[in-house]
Amino acid sequence: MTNYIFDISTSARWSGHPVGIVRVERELARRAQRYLGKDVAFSVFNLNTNDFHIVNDRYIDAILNGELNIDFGQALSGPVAGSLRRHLRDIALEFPLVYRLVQRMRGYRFTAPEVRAIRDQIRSLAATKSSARTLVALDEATKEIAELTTSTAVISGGLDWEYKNVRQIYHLKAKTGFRYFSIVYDLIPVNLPQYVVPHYVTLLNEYFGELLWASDGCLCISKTTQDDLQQFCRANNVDRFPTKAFPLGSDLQHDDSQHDLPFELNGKKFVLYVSTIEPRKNHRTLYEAWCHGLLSAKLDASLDRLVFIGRQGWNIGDLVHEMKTNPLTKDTILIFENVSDGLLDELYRKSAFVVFPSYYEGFGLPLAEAFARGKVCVTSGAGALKEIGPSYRIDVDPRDVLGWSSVISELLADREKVLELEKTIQTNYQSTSWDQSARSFYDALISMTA
Amino acid sequence: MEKLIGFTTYPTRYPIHGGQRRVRAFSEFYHEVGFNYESVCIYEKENYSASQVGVYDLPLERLAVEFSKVPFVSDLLSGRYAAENVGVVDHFSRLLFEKKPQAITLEQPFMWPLIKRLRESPEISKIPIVYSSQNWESPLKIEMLIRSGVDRQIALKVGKEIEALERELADASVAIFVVSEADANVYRSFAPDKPVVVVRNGVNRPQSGAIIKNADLRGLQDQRYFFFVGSAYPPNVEGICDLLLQGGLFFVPPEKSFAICGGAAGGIFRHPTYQQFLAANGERVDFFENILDDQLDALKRAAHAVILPISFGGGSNLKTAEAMASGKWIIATPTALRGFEHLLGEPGIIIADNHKTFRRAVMEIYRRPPLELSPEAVLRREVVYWDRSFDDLRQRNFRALLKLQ
Repeated sequence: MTNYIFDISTSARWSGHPVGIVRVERELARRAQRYLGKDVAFSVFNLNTNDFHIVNDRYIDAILNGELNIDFGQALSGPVAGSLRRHLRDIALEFPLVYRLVQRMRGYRFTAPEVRAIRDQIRSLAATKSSARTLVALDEATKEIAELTTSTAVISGGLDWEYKNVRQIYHLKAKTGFRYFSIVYDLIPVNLPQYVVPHYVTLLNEYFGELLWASDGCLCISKTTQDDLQQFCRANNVDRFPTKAFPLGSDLQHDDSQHDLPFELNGKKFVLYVSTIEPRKNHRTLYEAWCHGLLSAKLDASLDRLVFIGRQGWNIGDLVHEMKTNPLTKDTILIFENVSDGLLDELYRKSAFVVFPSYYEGFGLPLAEAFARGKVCVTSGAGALKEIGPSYRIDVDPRDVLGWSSVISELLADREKVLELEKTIQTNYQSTSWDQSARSFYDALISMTA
Repeated sequence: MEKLIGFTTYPTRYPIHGGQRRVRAFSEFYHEVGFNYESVCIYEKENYSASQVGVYDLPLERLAVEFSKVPFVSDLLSGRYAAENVGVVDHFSRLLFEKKPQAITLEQPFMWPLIKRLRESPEISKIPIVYSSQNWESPLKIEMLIRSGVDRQIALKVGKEIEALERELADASVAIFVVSEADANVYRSFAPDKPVVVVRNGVNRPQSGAIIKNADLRGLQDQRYFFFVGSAYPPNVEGICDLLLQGGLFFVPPEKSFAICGGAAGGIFRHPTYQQFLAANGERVDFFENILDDQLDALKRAAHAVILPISFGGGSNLKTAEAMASGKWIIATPTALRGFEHLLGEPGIIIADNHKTFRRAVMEIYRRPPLELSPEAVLRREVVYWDRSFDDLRQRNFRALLKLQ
């Protein structure tokens, strides 16, 4: 008889818009009792004492809904300057003339209706984000330190390099004999370190190195990641745990509320790219391709838009500066971040088609989300992208700027072709729901723990 | 008993490093063939206390001369300084007149400028010279300097000066002793008419019945671990960092699995390659920088394998001989096995010449059971003991070799 503990340390600490890993942890944790039984417990890992604490039942839903954080007794930190800037912006938006003057000094021109639209949009986003998040002390949020025995199986699938100490977990296992099962998202820091924030390269290489000894089974979010993990194990001559792959779900949370598109997209045709903006995601190729399309008059600057949904990541400031200052792109490439699930759903549906030129992916959740909405997708086919919708993807080499430019301008100009492709996708593409994903995940887990 | 005087660039009273141990072994051999041997030197005073030096040894005075700011050339500077300083020349001249040795030996070529100067005296010029090489020094020094960041042109200039010393000394010697067949070929090309004898580096036989009590193995107690020992000599630090530590030690669990001993320990710990995964490496490595012989022996005896990740350098290596004598698994570079080529293919010796193959060998040996050698294999490894190193020399007429009456 296995006693399962699902660790939700990442959800308990995460306070921002949920990124992919946070989302996976929450979606799977929500369904844990369905597949593992009512006795499954939820834990958080205390980095100060290297113990797993069992979370009080009454707080679990709030944590998984992103409404409650646990205070582990460490100093809170955050970009004060950013917060102050946002506060000043909000005040200025209450007085459109002031906002327009400030923006004019920064080189931007807005009309009064545009300023009001921006204000409404920000208010709407703020309302979505700030659903009165609660902070609860560790002692209050948890009831006991987990009793770990040889029949315990701990499931871990968060940002473990940040919120756990895998090396200490190895030592804890040596003392107690419990088993540790981890979700592996990708091995990009090991195989393609050039695409990872420098500090994280060492941190993540160390994490994977120690995981070789701490884990008793790894559940990978794609066959590609499973292959990469097995290659890493072979490279280290380690063959001590099973690996299995499971698909991620691609259904966004249902949202009945009405979501207006950003005013800049009113009456426009737009191509959508949903991804953090960072070098690996290859926004550069799209930018160059877009410029080429405009310069060669294959794209219409008054009508066509390229939309990036995602926060600005590392080592991308120069590109964003180029996009925002280049007369060709400053009004035709638009960036939105902290977009709600409802608005994202609307953006997918209203987009002309979706693009994904990334150099490598461990899964590529936005591609699955786009196909699930019947959208035509142009991708690089790199990494795990090749596993998603192989019969429906249009693949272009991620370094082929002219190829991307050509495909984008052709599809934007040929609505009929896009509709035809969409029809095929909508009829035939089998998307994976989070329920199906969870079933695959827990089947694989149970077979490993049996 | 007849006398031999040896000139070195380090004192030999308490043999610690490889060169000192080799001098001690030669001293015992000379005694065996009827000569009382005494070595004298110009030494770096920063590295030796008064109790460690001999009565005739003199410290190197640092002068603002060519190469004085170049690292790792104090040996070259010692010979130059001795030759150019009247007081030093007089000191050693008096010594030779007083001791009246039958021959002068030079450990390495660096003191040759002094001997050349001393040989301006007709009496001293009649004393036969023996060149006791420990490496082919010139290319070794060039590589070491370039790896240390010294300007290539300066490194080449230093190397050229050393090669000139080696050639001159080989030409002036009655016999040349070298550490490997590869080095022998070099010196035969320098001085084709001179006898060149290979005397491999070796180790002392273990004292029978010696038992190491209460040795502190720290976190390595009851662990399967790899043993490494090396001085602070740069090839030792570079070798282990390049061949083993690059990429982390994640192929072993976070438990003590490596004993890194000797002067190299500090350099390895501070090296960026080690520091990159400091916490993870700290779980796997125990350092023994200042280690007593007893503890070193205990660590070696309890080790699963000995690693010799030496990627450059010349000569034959004392550490290699010690590893052979240990009867353990050995993972070594071809460079580390120089001088022991006759043991290639022996059971338990794995050769790896790059980062990938070296790490792979370590990973695989970690999984293997402890090495068990047959009695025949044990016997074949015994050629590494010092008493066997002189087998070739012993078969010759030593007095005739030195052209003595």
